[in-house]
Amino acid sequence: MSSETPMGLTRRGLLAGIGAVAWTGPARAGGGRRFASLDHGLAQTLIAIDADLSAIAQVPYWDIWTVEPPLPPDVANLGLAREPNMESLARLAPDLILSTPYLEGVRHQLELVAPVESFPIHAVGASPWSNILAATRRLGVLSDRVEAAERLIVETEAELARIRDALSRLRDLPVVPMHFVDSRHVRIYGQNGVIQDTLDRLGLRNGWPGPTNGWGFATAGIERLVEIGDGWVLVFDPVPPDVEASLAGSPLWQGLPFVRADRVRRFPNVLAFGTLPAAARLARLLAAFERDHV
Amino acid sequence: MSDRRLALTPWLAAMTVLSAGLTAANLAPDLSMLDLDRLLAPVPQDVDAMVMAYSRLPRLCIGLLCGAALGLSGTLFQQVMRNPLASPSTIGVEAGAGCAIAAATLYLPALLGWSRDLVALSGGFLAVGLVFLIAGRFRFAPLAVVLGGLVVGFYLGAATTTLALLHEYQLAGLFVWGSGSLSQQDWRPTLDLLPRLAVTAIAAGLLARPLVLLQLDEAARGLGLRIALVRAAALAVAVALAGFTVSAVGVIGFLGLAAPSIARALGARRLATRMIVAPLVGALLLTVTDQTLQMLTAATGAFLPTGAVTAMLGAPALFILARRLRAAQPQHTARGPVLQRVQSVWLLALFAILVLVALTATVVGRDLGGAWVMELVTALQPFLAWRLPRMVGALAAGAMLAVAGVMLQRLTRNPMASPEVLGVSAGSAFGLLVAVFFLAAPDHLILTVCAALGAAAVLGTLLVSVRRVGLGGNQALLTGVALAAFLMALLSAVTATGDPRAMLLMGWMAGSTYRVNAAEATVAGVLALAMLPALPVLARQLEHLSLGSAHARSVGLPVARSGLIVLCTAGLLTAAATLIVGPLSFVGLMAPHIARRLGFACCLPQLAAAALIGAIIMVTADLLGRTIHFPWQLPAGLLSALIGAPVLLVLLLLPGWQQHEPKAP
Repeated sequence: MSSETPMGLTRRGLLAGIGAVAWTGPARAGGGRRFASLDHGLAQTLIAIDADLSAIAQVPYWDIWTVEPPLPPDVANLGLAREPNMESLARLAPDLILSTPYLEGVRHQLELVAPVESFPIHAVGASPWSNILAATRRLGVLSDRVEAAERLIVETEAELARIRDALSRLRDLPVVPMHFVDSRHVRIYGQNGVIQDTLDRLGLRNGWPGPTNGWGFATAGIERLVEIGDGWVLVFDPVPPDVEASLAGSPLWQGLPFVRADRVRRFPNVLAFGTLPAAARLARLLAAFERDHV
Repeated sequence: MSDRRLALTPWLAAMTVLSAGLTAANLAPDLSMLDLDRLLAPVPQDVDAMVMAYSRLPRLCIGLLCGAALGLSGTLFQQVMRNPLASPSTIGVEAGAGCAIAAATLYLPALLGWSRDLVALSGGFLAVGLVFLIAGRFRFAPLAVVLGGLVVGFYLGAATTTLALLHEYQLAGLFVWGSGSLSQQDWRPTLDLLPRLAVTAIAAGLLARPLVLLQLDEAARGLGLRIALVRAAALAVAVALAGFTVSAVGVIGFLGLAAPSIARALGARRLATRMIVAPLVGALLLTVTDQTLQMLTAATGAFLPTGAVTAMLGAPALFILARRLRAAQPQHTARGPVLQRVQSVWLLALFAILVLVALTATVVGRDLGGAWVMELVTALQPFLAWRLPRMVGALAAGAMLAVAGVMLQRLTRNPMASPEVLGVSAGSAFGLLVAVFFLAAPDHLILTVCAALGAAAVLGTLLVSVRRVGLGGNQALLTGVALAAFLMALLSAVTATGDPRAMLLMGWMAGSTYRVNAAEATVAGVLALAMLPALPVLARQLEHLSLGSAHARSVGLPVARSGLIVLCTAGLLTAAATLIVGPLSFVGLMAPHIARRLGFACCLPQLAAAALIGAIIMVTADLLGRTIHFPWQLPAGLLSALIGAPVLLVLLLLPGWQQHEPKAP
């Protein structure tokens, strides 16, 4: 949907050049480390500040779930985040492995290869925004790109503010960002997640009145969507194949106020456990959404 | 053979009152505000009427239908197999349906868009077809069906979990479905389910009389009843009942096991009575749970999948009722042809294979580009730090599980007995669950300690209950199944909410050797070696025990004491092994059977062969798990099920083997 270049991402050639320099020697004094990241959120910030990222976990999911910024082609795949491939890690010999508290159970293995730094961002039962800013700055220090990190923060906040000012009609109704889990259940994003933080910064209301878990989402049967009332329902991609047929034959779904008002739309996916680039992506997509649909 | 109606009626009445009361408490406040016109023809603007008419009422109906269907299905399974542990889950219906939906989600999504029900149902029948293929060789002897069903179910379950672990993002829906949510949005599922269940229930009713005659084996033969045909028909009806339910709402597995057992414990002895009481119990049980959960969800907003919670409630009920069940009949004595000459050759060959596989698992790997490489001496050095611990850990765990399996199968004379259903692994799973959800970012050491504590707690409980209550081996297993089902259901409920921490547990359940460090591998290796000298002593006692307690007493064996020692040893070995390869490897079930099929009939040779086979399967699984899907890892526990099950199936299907199947007494 969005073809714009994400904020803070400079040309890929520069990145490759830095990568080539770092590849040949040990870590440069005072930073400039080569990273392996087990978390896509941390990885998207690293790419956005042009840090030297040699490997991430779950590469095939990048284009489905993270999308922006584009993953540099020379980043190696470590496989499952919960069990990153030790032999690949050993052969790559990164200077630092970036992880989250969620993956603390494999730290003892990772430390056989390189030091591990863990970033608590999500799953803290509170807004992750301050954690995201802290992590961005810390990644700037670790990669010797303090300025780039500050610039990413300033530019993201500026872009959110600009889009906030530009939005108008979308603000008339609440929005409800959700995924379809199957034809009977949805996962709704709200408090404690970066998606809610972005909505807050854009001055948009979330139409889901129920509580969300520590990771920032709630799982619910479709019948509970009556609690939303009217609003823009943003259905993130991908949608399971049997959902549409099932909803088409459900009088309950057809009777929901937002369905009768024709306010359900497919929406490109945004990393729900992402960092600043995910927030900027969501904001841009919402601006485009208002332009095209509202 | 008269029923204890006096015991039966008040209980049923109490359950009916309870479920009616809860339903009224849940629905009445909203229902009373709606008049009949609004309810029968709700206009879309009338949100309250819409929710009542298209969500809450169909949910009540589909719950009643599913509960009844599972109760009837379980009754038929238990009747045909003459095994109180039989249920739709034991025959692989749920595993088959789940596997089909998972595979279709990933590879043929158009099929799901066309008919999700049909996909699930064909998966269920495919699983049962496989089971029948095996069972047919044994003329549908109950034991063969159960064993085949278990193996097929494990196999498909392992395949599904492997798919889920590799594509977890796409399969979030599968977890919800697996947790048996009753949430409804229209009447279609109920109206689709009703005629199907009606037809199958009528078929079940027609089969009642032949099935009763079947109970009296000799008489049935005398009456010229076609035993195989009746059994196959009853099994087909039972499968269809469970399959329709599973495809409509997902897995509510334990209900099919619990409802018939509860019916029996309430005093329903005759089949005809059980075929009415068990569906009633099932329907009431599910309604009680679902109405309560709806009120809880309304109050808290939490997502509580009914199927998983029902299983959590059904498990302790069974735990209590297990004591009232009569001890299961001795199932078989594991006797086969003695092939002494061949045995030593086989043992040597197995040992050679183990050495070969262990060496391969140490030196073979993949480089960054994914090319296969073999590292030797110095090049190998940097990789030994994690290849060796996981290889040694897998080897030791495989051997220990296999030995524990032989012990349990001989002690209980039940071919379904395996360390996995002892409850010990469920205990360690519970320890992990507590650590993962209640401690902030637990590291590997804390997780291991919690798992070990959980296993020790269950082991202790098991031993105390065996000593004090005097449970037989089979009842200990039933207790173990109840515990395991409870924990699997708890995990299923947590996974369904989408909490990512559930995936950490899932990884461990799947039997990942990824986390094994040098210290754990050393402990497991030492324990496995230490068990070797004890084997001949245990084997002698087991040999006597497996011929029945009367025989054991006649040769002067203190039966209770020996049984306790065997159970204790098996539990200890299982606990140690489970910490490394998780609770789902089923090596402890398969290795003893493979050993027996290879002709190891006497106890000590069977122990030795099973240990070697278990170790081979586990090390191979570890090697393949580390390399075949590079750079992703596949958990060794699951892979061992995927490797071991076909081996066992081939051995079962190989012509000429069936004469080794023990004759029914």
